[in-house]
Amino acid sequence: MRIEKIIFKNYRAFRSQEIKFRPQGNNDLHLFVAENGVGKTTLLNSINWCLYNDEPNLSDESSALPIVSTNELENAIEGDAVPVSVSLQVTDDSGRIIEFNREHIIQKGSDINNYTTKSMSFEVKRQLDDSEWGIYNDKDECQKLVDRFVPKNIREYFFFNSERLDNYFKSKDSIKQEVFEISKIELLNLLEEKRLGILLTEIRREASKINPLMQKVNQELEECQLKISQADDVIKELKKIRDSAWNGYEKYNENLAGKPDIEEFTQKETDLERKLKDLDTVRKELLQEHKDILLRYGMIIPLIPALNKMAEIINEKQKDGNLPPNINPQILIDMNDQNDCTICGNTLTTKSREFISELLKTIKITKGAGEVLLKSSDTVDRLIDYAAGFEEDMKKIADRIKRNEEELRNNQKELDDIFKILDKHKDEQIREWTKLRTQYKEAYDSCLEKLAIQESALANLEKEANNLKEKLSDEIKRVEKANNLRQQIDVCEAALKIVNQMRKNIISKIREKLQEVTQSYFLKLMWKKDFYNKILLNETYDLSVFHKSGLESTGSMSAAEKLMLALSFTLALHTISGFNSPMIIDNPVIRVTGQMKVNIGNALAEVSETKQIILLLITDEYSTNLSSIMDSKAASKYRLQMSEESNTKLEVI
Amino acid sequence: MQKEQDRLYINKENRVIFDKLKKDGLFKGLSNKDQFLFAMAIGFHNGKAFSPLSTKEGFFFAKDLQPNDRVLLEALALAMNNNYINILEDASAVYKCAEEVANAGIKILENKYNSVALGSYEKSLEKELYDFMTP
Repeated sequence: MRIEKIIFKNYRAFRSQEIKFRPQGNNDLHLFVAENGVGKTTLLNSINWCLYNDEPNLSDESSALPIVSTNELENAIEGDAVPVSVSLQVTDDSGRIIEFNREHIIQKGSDINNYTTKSMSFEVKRQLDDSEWGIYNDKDECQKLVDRFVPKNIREYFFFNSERLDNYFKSKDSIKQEVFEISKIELLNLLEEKRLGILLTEIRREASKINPLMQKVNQELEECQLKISQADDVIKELKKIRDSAWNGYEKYNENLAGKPDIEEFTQKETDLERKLKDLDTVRKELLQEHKDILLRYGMIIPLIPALNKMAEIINEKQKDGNLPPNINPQILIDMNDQNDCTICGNTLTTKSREFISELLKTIKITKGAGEVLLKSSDTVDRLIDYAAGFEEDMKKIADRIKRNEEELRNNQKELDDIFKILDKHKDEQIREWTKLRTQYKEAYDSCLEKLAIQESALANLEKEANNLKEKLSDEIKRVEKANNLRQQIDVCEAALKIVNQMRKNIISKIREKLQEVTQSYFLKLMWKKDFYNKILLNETYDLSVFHKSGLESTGSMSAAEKLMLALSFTLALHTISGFNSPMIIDNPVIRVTGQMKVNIGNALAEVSETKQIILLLITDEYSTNLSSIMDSKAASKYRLQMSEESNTKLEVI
Repeated sequence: MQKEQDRLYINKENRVIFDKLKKDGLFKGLSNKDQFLFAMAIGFHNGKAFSPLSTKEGFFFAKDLQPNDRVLLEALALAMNNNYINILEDASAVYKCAEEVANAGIKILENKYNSVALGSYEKSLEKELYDFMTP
């Protein structure tokens, strides 16, 4: 398939323009050279808009402008209907023409900024034979015809700019899916899942009607298969979200490379502030404890001389045998006063009274006082011992206070250092990026968790489905009437098995071929000859590049080398897919220089021998070394220029 | 029979000193009993000072005195009365002695506290006690 011409009417800067792509010589190569902002990317967008009604490569400046030519809109008066259209004429592999025509009618309002889209239409005209044309307006029919040219979900492999190649390997699952699409594996999938699958379900249903138990099992099987299909959809969706979250995370991680981890420092700041608060509380408690100890000792230490004296008295009296006192002196005093002996009851004689007085002189302690001294004896000793511990206790509390103060100082210093770092990087953007990176990572982790759960659930469902199939099969075998149906089921299942095996074989062969052709292109494109010598593409579509020494070197490749790898893979896809639609590349060599530019030029020129290639280059890109290769091979060469009225003009070079 | 004294007293006019010392933080968290004992120790330490009470005001209950506290009062009473042992038999005499010494002590404490910078009294007390224990 190739593009024959594009006709513009009032589409952005292409006011009224027709571009023809006539093949010439061996190469179907067409070049458009322009300065920036003249309409090069608009050309790429026009094809997307015509086929898919969107403009994925729009710059910020252009997205602010209406899709209709601003000149045309300016010249119109309020209420005027201004048509904007792009018509893409292609020829299919049998040489028949297909025209894709998209038109919007824009109604002008009070000024150039006020306008509405009054109507939209998309029509496909297809040449059926020399004189007959089919005209299609139905949305689904048109979609099918567009998909035959370039399906929307794989258009990035056909219409792209070199920036896209940078993001190539971010999502391996979608690459795998897209390879299947391009390689038409999807047709086999459809056959397997839809046609044969539906047929098998109908036959089982028929067989199960013969036996109620079979019916029940079949119903359970159908329900299980529905759940499997739903689980599959959920897993696909989760994988898309996972990949998108990972891309987001990697993007901001790259932006933040080399910058301090603001999030980590902010968390540390919070932790330190909390720690300082706790340490300050401890400090206050310690100071209070210090004061309490001081006052407690303050009550006792000044009384040490008195306590020592009391202890001395107690010891002395105990040695003398006066503690405890063995005679209560009060009894003797009472006896003297009453002149009677309280023990024998006799009246006291003079001699007795003298004896009592002498005795009283020797007894110096009253019973009460003696009891108090005896009772206090142990406590006195304890208090004296306690006071001796003053220095040690004060030292202990002083050490604890000192350690606390040191810890406070150290933490404060750490906090001050963090303040300085955060102050230096007050940049709101860094904080925003850090926040976004965290959010993407959390989303990614959450997705992984959900995926694990879903995949486990899917595995269980598949196991259940297999058990039910076996059960159903056993039931069907038992019933003679179901024999015929049983045979049909066997044939269907055998066919399914064959198709499945075919699909696996084709996928394997495609992968091997992809690997071979990617390697071939890559080694041709690389300017460092004999540096890399092998490429491997594994079952999960990871590309690995090997140095001639045998070392795997993918991780250490430069950005330019990765670009070459992505381009090689794309060219390989086109080569082996059998999908012969044109390739349009915007700024194909803007990110490379020197020999690599020459190698890419040669590779694209070679591909243009079997497929239409349209290149959109800025003037600086189209340097002498590239033009020397391409000029002789290009079927057409145009320069895009901006007119005085800001319309894009074409000039044949 | 005389009723046993059930509380220990301070001079009414000195209540304001105890309150100020509590508010300023030195006596923060200390019970009235402990404040009294501290004032008593200060009075004894500063030349066995004592001052009879004029207008009495109850400060804490005698039943709140722990064995350690009683021994401090007894040791003080002995020291203030030429070691006359039998004074220990008369609890009220012991309490009276303690009250008079504490009465003098609280005034001395007030003067010392006010004469130093805020927060420095504790440092000077610590030094005094260190010097006392290590002559």
